[in-house]
Formats: sequence, structure tokens, C-alpha cells
Amino acid sequence: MKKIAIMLALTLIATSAFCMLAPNASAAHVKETYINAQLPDIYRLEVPVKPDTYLSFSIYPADYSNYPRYPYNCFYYNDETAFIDAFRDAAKGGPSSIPSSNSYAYGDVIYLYVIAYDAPHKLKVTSNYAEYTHVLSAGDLWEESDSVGGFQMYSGQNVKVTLYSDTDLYFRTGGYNSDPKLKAWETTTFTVRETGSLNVYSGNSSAFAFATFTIEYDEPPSAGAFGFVFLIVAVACIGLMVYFARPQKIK
Amino acid sequence: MTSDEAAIASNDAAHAAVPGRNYKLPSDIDQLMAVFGAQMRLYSKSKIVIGFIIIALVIPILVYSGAAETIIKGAADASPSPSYLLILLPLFIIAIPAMMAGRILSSEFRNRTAYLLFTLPVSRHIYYFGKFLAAFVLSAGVFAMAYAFAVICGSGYGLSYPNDVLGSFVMCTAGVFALTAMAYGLSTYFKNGSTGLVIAIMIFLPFIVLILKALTGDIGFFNPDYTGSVWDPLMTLPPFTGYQALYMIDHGVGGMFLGELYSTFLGPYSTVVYVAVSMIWGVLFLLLGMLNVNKKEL
Repeated sequence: MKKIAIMLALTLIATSAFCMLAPNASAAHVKETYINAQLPDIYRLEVPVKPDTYLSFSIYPADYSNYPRYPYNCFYYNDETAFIDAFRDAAKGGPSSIPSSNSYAYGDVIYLYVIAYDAPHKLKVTSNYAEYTHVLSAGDLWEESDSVGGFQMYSGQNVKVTLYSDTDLYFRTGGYNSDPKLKAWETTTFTVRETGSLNVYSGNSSAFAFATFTIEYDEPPSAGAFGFVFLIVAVACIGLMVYFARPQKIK
Repeated sequence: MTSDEAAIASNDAAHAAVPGRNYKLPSDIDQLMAVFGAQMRLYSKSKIVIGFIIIALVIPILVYSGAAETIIKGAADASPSPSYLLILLPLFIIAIPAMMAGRILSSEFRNRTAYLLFTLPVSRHIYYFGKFLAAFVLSAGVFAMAYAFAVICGSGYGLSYPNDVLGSFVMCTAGVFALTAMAYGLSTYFKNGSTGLVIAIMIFLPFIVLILKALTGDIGFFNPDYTGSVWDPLMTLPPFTGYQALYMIDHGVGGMFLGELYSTFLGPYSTVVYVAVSMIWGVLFLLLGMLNVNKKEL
């Protein structure tokens, strides 16, 4: 009994020590990211296709002096529910292309959604049957939940956000919709509740405006140390089996 | 004293009736440790237990030999991050508790060997709980070993952060508790144990949940308006604990058995909710088994 008690006590002390040390191991590292972004202009373009259609699209910023500072993300669907391709990064102005597909039928339409972080700009779509050119402008928004950001944040991380904007915005991490409201011209501090992508969104399609914010967050420590905690737990549990399996003295 | 009265008599009352009693009743803790130790000693001779420990030990061998990277790259075009190294968790979280706890009590009842291992008197309740405790501790130990190796070997490859890893392990342990208790509690009702039954229930229960959700229009292929990301309270049930535990580490549940389908519903329930549901589930099955044990002749 004494040996078990000593073994459990040592395990508890070691586990506690790891738990106390591991999360704070690199808490001093603060990473600062400066984002200068306009909330996205999401544009939907319907492109009629036929069998063996090949599409190529390019996005050009209106202001070439900033080029290629701003990223452009494009994605497209073959219908309203399924991706043909995942997010296709058309950074640096493209062109990016959709391979030809003989699975298209006459009368099919491809819905091309473009998220652009700097408007206005020009979208040019070329197929082997036709060419479409559209100028995208700010304010042509998709839905109320449009967002910008996409920082990967981790449960328990402390975040400090300062919003430079005339408009209040919201943060959303993972699936939670109850993250704090970011007040215009104020600094908000909060702890991330669930690991996931951290997005800023307006909650109101008419409220989109040019927003700049700074975000500071603790660099999360590696979970590697927890591996040793689990190892101690495992050794303690399986060690009990080994302990009780030893030859018994008859009292 | 009739057999019915004996079944419900307290420890002291039962032992006070022993003619010429010349022994002292051991404390509850001593009784518990005696049963726990005896069951642990039985486990040390079990090939199944040794087999599960070896499976956990295979993780670092796979990683450091480079085999894990080859297999995972080939199968899923991904790196051997902790979630991929633990990809069989949803299967083992059902299999290990069911095989550890599903037969240990029924065989004792069948062979009338329940008390043969003990030189001291042991109360019925403590006998029941002590064997369960051994099954749970050893099952949890196997999962702790798997988590340890996956986190140590895999954290250089992908996302894994302290809160998530700890939450995932706590959730996994709660699931192990629920399923160990279920297998153990149900085993009191069957002569040959409950291992097969528990595995069958835990495999089919998710299908029943999915069919229910399909019928109510919550799943995309029956509902054209479905937009994804519907988190459902049913996903907090123990059969889904393994998926959610993996989802917490780095959301790497895609392509894992039915993980792609379930991943739509996995989401932001807090660890506390999962643990609470699993604890309630486990305690209910333990009580169910206890009711039956009270009626049995040992």
C-alpha cells in the first residue's frame, strides 16, 4: 500500500509540475500581426459552360502601386452545394485556371465566387468559348456573415484586438457566434473559447467598411510536454497491473 | 436467515451472524484494494491486455521507422500528426473497454469463482466496484499510452496545443469510463458477457442517430436547404466521443471510418458537456449492473 501511495503521489506531483510548466513555457512570446484589410467583396459570376470547357480567370487590382500586396482568394462551385475545387489561391494576380471537364453538359452553369480584399478590381474570365470581364466594386456583398481574417487560434489563447474603424464588428472563432463584439476605436481583450479560424464579421451587410485592426496573441506552447504527462499516467496505470502481478507472500 | 435477506444484509449484519467469528472485518479501502489487485493480477495474464499495450507501443515504432509517414501520405496525403496517429481511436474506444470489462464478471458468476481469490471477506458492492475500477484504470492506461506516444511523436508534424490535447484526453477518458461501465454493467445480465453486444450497440447506435437525423432533414443528402455545420446534442453520446476527441486535436477526422459524415455534426460543445454526458451514461449502467448483482448468488 505504501509503495502504491508513493507511486501515485509522485505521479501526481510530476503531472502537476508538467501542467503548471507546460502552458507557461513560451507564454512570454507575443506575436503581433498587423492586418490592413477591407472586408471582403464577394462576387458571384455565372459562367455558362459546355462539354470540354476550359476556364481561366485573372484578377487585377485597380491600384497597381499596391500590387502584389493584397491577397486574392477565389473559389468556385459547380452548383450551390459542392466545391469543384477547394479555395484556390490566385495571389499575385493570377491567372488561375479550372481544368477542362467533359462532365459538363450543355446548359450547365459554373458559379464562380470571388473573395477580394481590395476593391475595385477587375475580374477576367476566359473560356474556350467566350470571355467575360467584370469590374468588382465594394459594397457588392454576399450575405450578412461575410468575414475577413481566418487566423488559426487556439483554445485558451489570450487575444487583444484593437479596431480602427467607424463600425463595430464581431469576432467569431470556430462555431461560436457569441464571441465579443469589437467596438470601433477600442481595444478588446478576450480568451479564445474553441480552436478554429478566427474571423471578423459585421453581422450587418450594410455595415461593411474599411477596417484596420491589430491583433496580439500569445504564441501557444507546444503540447509535446503533455505527451510526457500522459506517459506518466500510462506508466502509473499499467504499473499497477505489474505491481499486483508480482509473486504474493502467503501471510 | 433466508437467501433474500442475506442478499440485502449489510456487511456487519452478515458477518455478525457467522458462528464463532474470530476475524476482523477489513476496511472498505482494504477490501477495494484486494479486489482491485486480484483483478489486476488476472489482467496481467490476459493476452488481450498485453495485445492492446503492444498496439500502443507500435505508434513510436511506426513514426521513427518512417512507416507512419509513408502510410498516412499514401492513404490521406497528410502528415503523421497526433490525430492521424490516433486515427483508430473511435474503434478502440469501443473495443478496448468492451473486451476489458465485458467478461470479467460474468465468468466469475458462471463458474462461481467470485470469492475464491480472497482470503478476506469482501462486500458485494465493493467486489463489484473493485473489478470495474481495475478494468477502467487499465483501459485508461492503454489510451494514456497511445496519447503519450501520439503527442510526443506527432506534435512536430501538425497542430496540437495544450488545451486541446488535454481536453481531448479528458474527453477520451470520460468515453472510456462510459463504455467500460456499459460493458461491465450489461455483463451481469449475460452468461457469456456483453463484449459482442456492446460493440454491436456502439457500432449501430451512430447509424440509428444518422437515420433519425436524415428523416428529420438535418443531413444534406435528404435536405436540399442543408448548409452544413449543424451541431447536434446527440453527438455528445459516448459512441461519438472518439471522433470528437480527435476533432479537438486538429480537426483531423476526415476519411476516418464515418468521420467525414460525423464531422459535419462535431463541433463546439465544451469538454464539460461531453464529460458530463459520459459520466451520467457510465453511472447509469453501473447502477443497472449493481441492481442485478444484488440479486445474484455468488
